[in-house]
Amino acid sequence: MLPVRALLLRFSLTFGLLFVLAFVLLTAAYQPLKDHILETQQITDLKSKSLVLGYQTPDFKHLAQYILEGHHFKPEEFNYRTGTDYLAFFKKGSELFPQLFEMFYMQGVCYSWLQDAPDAEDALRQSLQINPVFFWSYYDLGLLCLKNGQIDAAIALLSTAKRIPPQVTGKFLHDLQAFQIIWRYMPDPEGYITRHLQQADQKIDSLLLIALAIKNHHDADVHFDPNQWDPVFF
Amino acid sequence: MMLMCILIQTNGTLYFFKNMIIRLLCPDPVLFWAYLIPVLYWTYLTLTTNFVLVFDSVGYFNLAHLFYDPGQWTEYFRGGPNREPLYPLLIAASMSAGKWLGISYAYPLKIFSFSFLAATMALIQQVLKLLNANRWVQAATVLYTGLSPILINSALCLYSEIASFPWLIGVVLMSVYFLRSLRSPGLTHCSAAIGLGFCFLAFTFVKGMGEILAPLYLSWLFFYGWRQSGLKILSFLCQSRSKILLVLLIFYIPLMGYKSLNYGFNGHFVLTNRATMALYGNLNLRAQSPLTMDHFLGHLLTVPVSYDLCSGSSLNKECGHWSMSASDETFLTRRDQLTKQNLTPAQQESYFNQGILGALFSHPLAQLVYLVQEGMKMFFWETSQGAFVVYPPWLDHLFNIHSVVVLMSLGVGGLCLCGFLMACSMLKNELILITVVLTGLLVLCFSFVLVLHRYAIAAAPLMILINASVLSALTTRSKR
Repeated sequence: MLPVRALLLRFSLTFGLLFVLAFVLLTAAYQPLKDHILETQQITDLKSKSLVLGYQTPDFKHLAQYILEGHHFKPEEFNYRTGTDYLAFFKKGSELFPQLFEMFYMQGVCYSWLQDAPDAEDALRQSLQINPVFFWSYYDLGLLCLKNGQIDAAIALLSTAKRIPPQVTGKFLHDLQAFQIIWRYMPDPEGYITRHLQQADQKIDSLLLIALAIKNHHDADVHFDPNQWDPVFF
Repeated sequence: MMLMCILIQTNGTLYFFKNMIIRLLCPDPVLFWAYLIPVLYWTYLTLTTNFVLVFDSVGYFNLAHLFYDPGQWTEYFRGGPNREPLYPLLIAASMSAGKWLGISYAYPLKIFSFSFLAATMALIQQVLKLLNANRWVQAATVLYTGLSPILINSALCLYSEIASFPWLIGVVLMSVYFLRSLRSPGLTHCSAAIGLGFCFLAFTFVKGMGEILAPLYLSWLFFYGWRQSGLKILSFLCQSRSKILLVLLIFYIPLMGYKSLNYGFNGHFVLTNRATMALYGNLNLRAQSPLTMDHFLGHLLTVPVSYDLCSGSSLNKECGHWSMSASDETFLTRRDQLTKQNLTPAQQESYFNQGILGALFSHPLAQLVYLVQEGMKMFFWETSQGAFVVYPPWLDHLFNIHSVVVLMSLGVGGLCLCGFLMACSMLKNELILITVVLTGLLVLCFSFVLVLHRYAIAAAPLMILINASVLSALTTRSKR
């Protein structure tokens, strides 16, 4: 056993320095350290979520091609191994970033392609809750309601869509990163957006006519084949 | 007499507690700070970092849920064979702790992980004490273990390596005590035998490779114990049978029990599901790659697993030939063919086992060269660019400075390789001999599969111990 003097020296070297450190931390460094930790937590939290989504990003080349050709995915084509697992990607995106309406919107379109009406409706409604001025959310949800026989809801949604200025929708489509990663694979994304927004008014008018005719029991005057109307990505 | 024994025992106990209190109140300041600095750093990182839940960590997370959700634990076996169970159990415990405390499970998990790291530091220090290492060497080793970027990364991410760290050092310690205990007959001083069996069992339940490592190492240990005893083999076995049996029973009974559970629920008498794919894929890939200069150099460039030497080199395509996807593709292609031929899983298993043996003995020279190169990857465990953890921006920037990356990856890797080779010349010291043999066997076991960076991390504590032992031996020599 060491002599008392040596023990006292050890005690002061270890705990003395510890007390000094604790004093400095508590008095001078506590608040700045706390602010730094809170700020860093926000940054690392956001970055880790982006990385998780980044690792699971599918190959959007196929999606872009299908959009251009006007086709839509069949259920067996949503495949992790072939890099076309878009629904899983958008679902993960909406889980990690619940404030991003576009993740819910694109989920809704994928579910519509899979003919899963309840999930499609849920996703599109969530998209509208977050962003109530995106034209194509109203259009796709209105079309879904029309196909399901919810005529009043369809009329309300399509009428609201008609009131949204095209440039508002265009801005979302230009600015949002989730859409930009698909534009990269399109030869003329600007042209595509403009053309489809120009056609959007005509489509809305046609659907409203059909909805009103069905509502007023004039079904025979208007021919509505649900299979002819596909959900639109944008 | 009885009273005297009680008095001596009491006095002994009192002396023990007095000693313990003095150690707690007046610790060695160098060692105290060597432990405290990492603890402060870990506290900061626990509060500021986030792990990224992708790839294998999603698998661990999902398996943990099977333990955490009530009544779901049988699904772990029914849907198996799955991964080794200890780390998913740890995550499940963190989920329970998080729920009880009302916080995210990430915080308890990080605390548990850092506890494993702290235990590793303490065990390494204990081994160095047995080596009579200088307190500065002990402190430097403890400090490095606590501050190593990759070891901390292992504690912060959702991968299982952190849970394997203390067990191999425990094996080293317990081996020393076990060899000493062999001098006493029967079951006296049997705690080392219990500890040895338990450490191997715990390691195997984190890294399935322990199932192959344990019999190899224990065979050597028992053989070495016999040679040290100077007895005839039968006399040695008679004297030490209880302790040897104890080690084997503690290791094999739970392991066989676990494998029986797998057999009962899913028909496979195995620990995990990945051994066949790893062995068949890699050994066949090697068998299909004749020993040309391109193949040799391409494989050599992949040796520093913690640093990418391939991209930007003219042999980039060759490196791709030795990737994990190429190895897995070899297995998956064959499995698809066998499935199309309507072979049952048992028949497929038999086919793959034959394939493994066939590949092993075809082109023996090439297999040996690739085996040695694969084993060398185990020394390149350190890196400042650990994956799947998001650090504070200032730390991220520091870790990505090129010179830091090169120093950590290649510098420490080279040092570990040299340290191992130097330790091979110091085998007269029993403790160094035990560490070298254990490390050598671990490297040999992993050489048969494609060594990923995370496999090399599992050997990190042993590598640190070897380097510290060599440093301690050199400083002792220079003092003389």
